[in-house]
Amino acid sequence: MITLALSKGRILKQTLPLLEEIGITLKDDPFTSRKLIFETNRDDLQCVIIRATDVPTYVQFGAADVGIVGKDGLLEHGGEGLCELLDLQYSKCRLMTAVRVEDADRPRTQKSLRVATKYVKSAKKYYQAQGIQAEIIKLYGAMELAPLVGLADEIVDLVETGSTLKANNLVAKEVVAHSSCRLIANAASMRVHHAAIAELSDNLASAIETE
Amino acid sequence: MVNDANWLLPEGVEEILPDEAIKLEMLRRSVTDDLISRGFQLVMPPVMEFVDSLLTGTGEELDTQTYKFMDQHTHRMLGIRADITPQIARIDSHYLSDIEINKLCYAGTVLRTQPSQMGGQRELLQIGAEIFGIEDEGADIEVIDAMLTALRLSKAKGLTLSLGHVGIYRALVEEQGIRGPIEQSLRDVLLRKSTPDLQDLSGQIDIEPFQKLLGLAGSVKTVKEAQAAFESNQAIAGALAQLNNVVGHLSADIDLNLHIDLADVLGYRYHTGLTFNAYVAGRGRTVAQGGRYDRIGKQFGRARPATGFSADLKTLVKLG
Repeated sequence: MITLALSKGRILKQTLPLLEEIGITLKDDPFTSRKLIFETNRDDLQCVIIRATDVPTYVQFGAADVGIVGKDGLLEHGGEGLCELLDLQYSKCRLMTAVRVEDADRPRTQKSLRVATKYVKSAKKYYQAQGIQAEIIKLYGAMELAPLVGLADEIVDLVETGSTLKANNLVAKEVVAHSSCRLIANAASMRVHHAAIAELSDNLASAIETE
Repeated sequence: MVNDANWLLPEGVEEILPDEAIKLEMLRRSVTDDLISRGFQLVMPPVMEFVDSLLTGTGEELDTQTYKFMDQHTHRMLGIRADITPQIARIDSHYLSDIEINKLCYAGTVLRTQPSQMGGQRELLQIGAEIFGIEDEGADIEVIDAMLTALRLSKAKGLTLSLGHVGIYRALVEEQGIRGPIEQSLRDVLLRKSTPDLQDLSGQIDIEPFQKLLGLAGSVKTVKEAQAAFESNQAIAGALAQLNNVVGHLSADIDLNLHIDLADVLGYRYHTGLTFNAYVAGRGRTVAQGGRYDRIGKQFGRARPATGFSADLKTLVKLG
């Protein structure tokens, strides 16, 4: 029996049809059920449905053998003890820096830049690579507000369509990372349950290819 | 200020209470007895040493894992061992240098500045065995047998042994002359088995052989597949022949789930040949590990073929 960890919310809506395509269905509807562990039509596979940011942690500790999570979440986690098997090609978005419209063409002149983000690790790494000393302010939501009220000079956030930025008078500037959903596996499970995980990975790979 | 939590221990440090302590001690005795009966001689290196000798020939990782402080007498830096293997290599090359083949074993406390995972332990009870002076894989087989017995004495069920050989990756890297930061990112990609990220390196190196390498994991049939995939490379052929002999020896062990992973580059800086990692279902990480490290004795004046294994007894005792 292997356990597959799925990210709640937006990603889940795209994940379930993909699983169905390779013949895996959940016995209960995750959108109405309050369960956390879901049986599937196969007795060698069960699913847990958790927050996207928790998926790498569950898989790292072997509490789940495999998981589906965005690359953005993986970068933030660091990926230690995880195998990244497949780019599932959906839920594509970019992790970008954004500033107020009126600052869009102004070069960064400050010695130290204040950046508000949920993606602390990725932001730190990015500004370091640009040679910029950045003070990272960790926020849990509504990043767009930070530059407007003077809490930060820039933000780093996921951009899908850019409409939230626009509504708040911000513009996206540089790409920090590209993200899409990934199939990940615990490094130990990868060896202990190799046949089962390889089968799941191969089936998903051919399902994506036909799309 | 009244400290009402004076019973509290630092994070990653634990007390072993009567129920567990007796089990731990019994396991330590039975594993040590087994190692001695296999001809390994027990040695007891010191808990602290000069940092210079403690870290000789080891990677950067061990450096950050080692607690350091200043010796009040000599004003030199001392360190508390984070791994016993380098100490055993020093003993082999310095004190027992007139002996051709040394088989040594040990059990003792090591401290790590960081637990190897969140919520993990910083104080381990490391047990292990090393063989110096034998170049062929016969020594590796001896070490693997000792490691598997240690795991069975701990009553671990559902054992998986994963075999690899860093010589294959090394040969592929040397073939293309890949070194420096690119080699590091390539190794990182292989560690994460990330086929998507390997694609990103295609502008800088020929990724084709590494794609093949990532696909070479699974049952013992993998060795045959690898022989077909890389038949033109002499170094790889040699590595695979060694693996094949080890597989041949272990296939008699029917309770063992044998896994081959030729892209396993964990410990690449330190290991030089065969590597072996043991896993138990439901544990998200290795429970015992080992491999060949032929170069380490060089820094102490005696380059020697060497292979060995180590495990944390506190982890093993929980497997039963």
